[in-house]
Order: sequence, then C-alpha cells, then structure tokens
Amino acid sequence: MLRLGNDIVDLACGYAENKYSDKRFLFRVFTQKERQVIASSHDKTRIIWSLWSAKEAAFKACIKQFPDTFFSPQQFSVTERSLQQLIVGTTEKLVGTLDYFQHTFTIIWQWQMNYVHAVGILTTKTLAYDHIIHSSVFNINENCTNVQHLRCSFSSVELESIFSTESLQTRFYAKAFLYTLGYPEQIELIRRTKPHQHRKRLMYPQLSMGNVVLRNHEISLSHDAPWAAIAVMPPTPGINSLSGD
Amino acid sequence: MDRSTIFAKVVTIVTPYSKNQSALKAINEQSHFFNDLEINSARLVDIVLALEDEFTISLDDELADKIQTLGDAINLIIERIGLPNAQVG
Repeated sequence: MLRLGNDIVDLACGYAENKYSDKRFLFRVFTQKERQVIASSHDKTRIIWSLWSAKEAAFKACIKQFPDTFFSPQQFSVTERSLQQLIVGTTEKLVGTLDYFQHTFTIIWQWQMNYVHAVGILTTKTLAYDHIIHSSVFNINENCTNVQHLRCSFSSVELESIFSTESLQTRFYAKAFLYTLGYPEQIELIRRTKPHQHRKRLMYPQLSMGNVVLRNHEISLSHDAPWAAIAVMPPTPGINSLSGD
Repeated sequence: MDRSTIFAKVVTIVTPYSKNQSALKAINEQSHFFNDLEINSARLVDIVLALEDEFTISLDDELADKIQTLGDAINLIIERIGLPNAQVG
C-alpha cells in the first residue's frame, strides 16, 4: 500500500510572507513544538509554509486510504527530528517524517527561492523514494497558452472537474509531465465525485484510461498562484502491482 | 439576526480572500470556496477564524471541514448560534 499527496506554496506573495505575525493562525495550525521552531527560526516564512505544506501533503495522502479523515492541522505533526533538520534551512531538498496518530508519513520537501513543495507518502514499506516517485513543479504563467486550446487537450470527463483556468493549466502541465514518464496520450486525469453529506464531493485526482481507473498509479496535484506541482508513482514491482482495475 | 444578514456578513469576510472577481460578483449560497471562489485551505483557516470572531462561536476542525460552500458556513453558524426560526438550507 502506498498513498501519495503533495502541496505547493508560493512564498513570494504577501500573504505567505506576513503569516508569521498571525498568532491565531499559528496557534490554530501548529503544535507547540512547531510554534517553538517557528519562533526560533531566522526564516519564519520558510518554516511556516514548509510545515503547512507537509500537513497538507500528508492529509491528501491520508484521505485516500482513510476517506473519513478531516483536516485537523495540529494532528498532522512534523516529527522532532525533522523539525531540527528544518531549522538548519540551507538545503534545497529534505526527507523527513510527520506523524498522524499511529501513522507516520514520509515527507519530501523541495525549496526554490519562491516556493516550497512537499510530497507526503503513506506506506508500510521503507523505500528509496527518489527512484520511484516522480515530481515536478511548473510556472503556469510561462508559456501562456490560449485557454480554449488548453480545453481541447482534455476529454469531456476530464473537463467535468476543471473549474478554473489555473486548474486547467495545472492539468495541462501535469499531462505533459506524464508523457515524459512514458504515459500514453490517451491517459486521462480525472476527479470523480462521491456522496458526502447529502451532496457530491470531488475526490482526489486519478489516472484513467479507456474508462478504467488506474488504481495502482498514485498521483497528486497542487497549485498556488503561479506554481503547479505534480507527484506521481507508477506501479512499482514489490510495492504495488502492475495491473490497473 | 436572520439568514440574509448572516449571508451578508459571511460575504464581507470571504471577499478579501478570493481572487475570482466574476465568482464574487455572482456569489450565492451555492458558491464553492475551492471550485468557484478559488480560496485555498490556508485562507479557509483565516475565514473560519474570522467567522468565529464575527459570530462569537467556536468552529473546531471537524466542523470547519464540513464547510465547502457559503451555504455550509451559514448553516453551521445558524446551528452554533442557535437561531430558533432561521431556515437551514
């Protein structure tokens, strides 16, 4: 079993840059230990959004395995060891851990000057993630493509769950990335709906081909401001089977 | 306080957090925070905190997770402040 989630946060916007002074937000979202690390850090913005993106990524992975999970940020707590590694703050990539009750998630953080990207992995196995999880970040404002042209790239099923231009652009870049990994052009990125409290709720993104959902292909998408991010794990021998549904 | 007053207050709180001007112009109780108003989960935390302040209520994470649309927020507020005759949509 392996479940994947990801989250990207734009660090260059005013909202992200000023959040360290919002005490109510900090108390609502972060554990005491996490707040202590934030307070002692020389780069509070980086720490805050690294922690937040890890919680979001882990939650997105968790809800795939445990659909009744609700997002309670303090319950998704970055481990002490990873907090200490985050304080150092000089690396562009870090692999750490986060706990949610009895579950431990591996978190892969990547930083560039203007964003932090976290991939969260829920698994019972110890893995060399770099070899099996593929991720990429795109600036959707570069290579601007006509929206109508973008829409032509998607099937009607895919378009059912695309609600914004940013979502359209994110999926466009995600599919381009999937092609570089060897996925065929017929691959679809869908989000099905499921009943939730007397209405329908969008599920997480999945890969589909020929109306068959590829359950053993893990994928997660995220976007924030100009950034779109994808994380994908194709079926890997010894981890999940090679067949779909 | 009736439902329309609550709706107006919620719209006032939500507006600064949405970048989608066309969605804001057409805002109604069915407006979806993520899909329509393009409000991400971090900003939704801010909105929940602001709702707690405006209506003097407490919305824990489990309750906050139920808020998908403006109507959800209004129903929750009505439930939490215990309005006797407000219509829960």
